[in-house]
This record gives sequence, C-alpha cells and structure tokens, in this order.
Amino acid sequence: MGEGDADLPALLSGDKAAWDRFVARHAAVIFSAVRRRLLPAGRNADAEDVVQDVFVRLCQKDFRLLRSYDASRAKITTWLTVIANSAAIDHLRRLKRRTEDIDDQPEAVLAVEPAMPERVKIPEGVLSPRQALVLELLYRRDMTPGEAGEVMGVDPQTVRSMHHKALAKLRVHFQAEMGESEDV
Amino acid sequence: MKDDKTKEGADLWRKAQNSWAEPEAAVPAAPDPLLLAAYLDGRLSEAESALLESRLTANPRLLDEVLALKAELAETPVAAPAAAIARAQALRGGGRESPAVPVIDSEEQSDFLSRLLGSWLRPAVPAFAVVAVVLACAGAFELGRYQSERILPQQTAGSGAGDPFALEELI
Repeated sequence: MGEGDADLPALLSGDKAAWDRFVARHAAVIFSAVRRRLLPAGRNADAEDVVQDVFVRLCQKDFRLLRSYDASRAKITTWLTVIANSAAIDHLRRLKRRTEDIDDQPEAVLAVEPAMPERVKIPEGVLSPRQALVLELLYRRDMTPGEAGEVMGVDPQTVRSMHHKALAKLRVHFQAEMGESEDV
Repeated sequence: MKDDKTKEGADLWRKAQNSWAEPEAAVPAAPDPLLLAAYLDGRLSEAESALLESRLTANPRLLDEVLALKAELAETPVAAPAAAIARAQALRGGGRESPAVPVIDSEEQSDFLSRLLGSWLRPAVPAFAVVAVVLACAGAFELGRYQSERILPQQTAGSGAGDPFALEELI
C-alpha cells in the first residue's frame, strides 16, 4: 500500500485492533491540523472534540469516508490533514453561526481583512491557470519564486519563466483593451 | 522589488484582478479532499492540476486553504492527548459494526441513571406524596402525645413539692 496504511483492509472489515492501531498512528496528524486551525481563533480548547469528530466522520456509515481514500492518489497523512482541516473549519463556522450577529460586530472587526475580490474570472485565452497562480502567489501572497515553486511543485526557474510570460500576456491584453477603448 | 518581481507586474496583476472580479455568488463547493491531497502531494495529472489551479486563482479563500495545508504538512505533528486517542478508539466495538457514539462521561452517565430511574418512579410520585403527608401527620400527632404525657406528670409533681410560689401564682 506504500504511503497508505497497512491496517486499512483489516480495519475496513471491522477489525477492532486494526482500528486502534490506525487511531494511535494518525491521531497526531489529525490533532496537529485541527489545533493549527483552531489556535488563531482562540478555540484551542475545542481541539479534542474536533479530533473526535474527525474519527466519527471516518468510521460512520461503515467507514464510507475512509473507503473513499485511494492510496495511489495521495499519502494517508496528507489526506487526513485535509479532512481534519475541513472538520476544524466546519467547527469554526458552526460556532460563528451560533454566536455572531453580523449587525452587532464593530465595523473595525469586519474590516480587518484587506479588500480583495472574492472571486476572479480570468477571460479565456489571456492567462493559463498556472500563469495566473504564479502572479497571485508572487504579488498578492508576496512569495519568492522558490516558495511559489514549492506550492506548485515546480522549480523556481519555471516559476520565473511563467512569471515573465504572464506579464507579457497581461501587457498585450491591457494595451489591446486600451486601444479598443480609444477607438471607441 | 525582489526576485524578478516588478512594480509594473504588481500593478498589472492588481488591475487584472479588479477588472475580472466577479460579484460574490454562492460559495463554491470545496474540492474533493482526495483531489486536494493529491495536488498537495504533487500527484495530479497536468490537466487535473490546471483545473484545480484555475479554481485556486479564481478563489483566494481556497488558495488560503491550500497554503495553510502546505504549511501544516511541513510541520512535525504534535502528539495527541492520550484521552483523545482513547475516545477515538472507543468509537469502534470489537469485531463488528457499532454505532459511532462518543464516550459517555460521568455527567452524562448520571443523567442517564436519573432518566432511567425517573421513568420507573414517575407513575408512583402522587402515591408517594400522599403517603409522606399521612406519615408526617401521624408522626407529629404521636410526638405531641408523647411529650404531653411526659411533661404533665412532672408539672403536677413539681408544683406540689418544691415551689411554694407557684401555687400562689396560679391562684
């Protein structure tokens, strides 16, 4: 199974000892991911409950979620980190819905995040998704080509090359657009 | 600007995003966890990567998630508390399907006991109340009778023997 989990087949057939080993082996990954997400929100005390929620999700309905894991696609630790992160976000959303009335929030609190478009639709043919992502990581996330390359799984030189091509395309696009508006 | 980045580049990307910004519609569904994990592990095909990356560029919040996950995966995991492990292990019974019920703590157990006893005793509560009232009345009556039997002879005996003023006061 490689980077999967050797106990999965036995666990999925209902072996309690395999489940116990699985829990003992992966609890740290799940706990860490949950804690990292809850800590900035000041909800560290909820971490154990959210960890429990993750394990409930994994085993409920005859391990439906766990059965959806495919070891050939991703490491079990990566997949569990994604699941744990998602459970922690759901937990924070539930708390927010329960406790917060947006009208009661001071404006300063609501304006903490810098204004940035929530959704961006790149016109077809202007930039490839990778080029757009390179610009996003370099300029808005202020990453170095090395850091951006790490996120995207490519080397820094490829990032630099995509960066230059993307800028060239943007220049052409906006010059053409300006030309059109001047013509009008 | 460091690393080949230019002010012109930053301006162009800001301008691009502002011109292509979309009004916030319904929150798009989160990508499948396995797809996201495969992307984080660098195991997606080129076509799949392009598809996911177009979603990342279009949705800054999703990109935030991916960056946070990437940072998390680079960290060494912290050991989970033993109690959390024990609770999770208790979710599965030995060898067969058991419902995913969290471990009941002592407070919940006492609630359970009181609910159980309550369901048995509830029909008898009025009868118990009546019996309690009768017993209380009978007890009070008996106590009064007993005390009067003890005090009255002492008063009669005492008034004749030791206290010459008592009779006068009574008269």
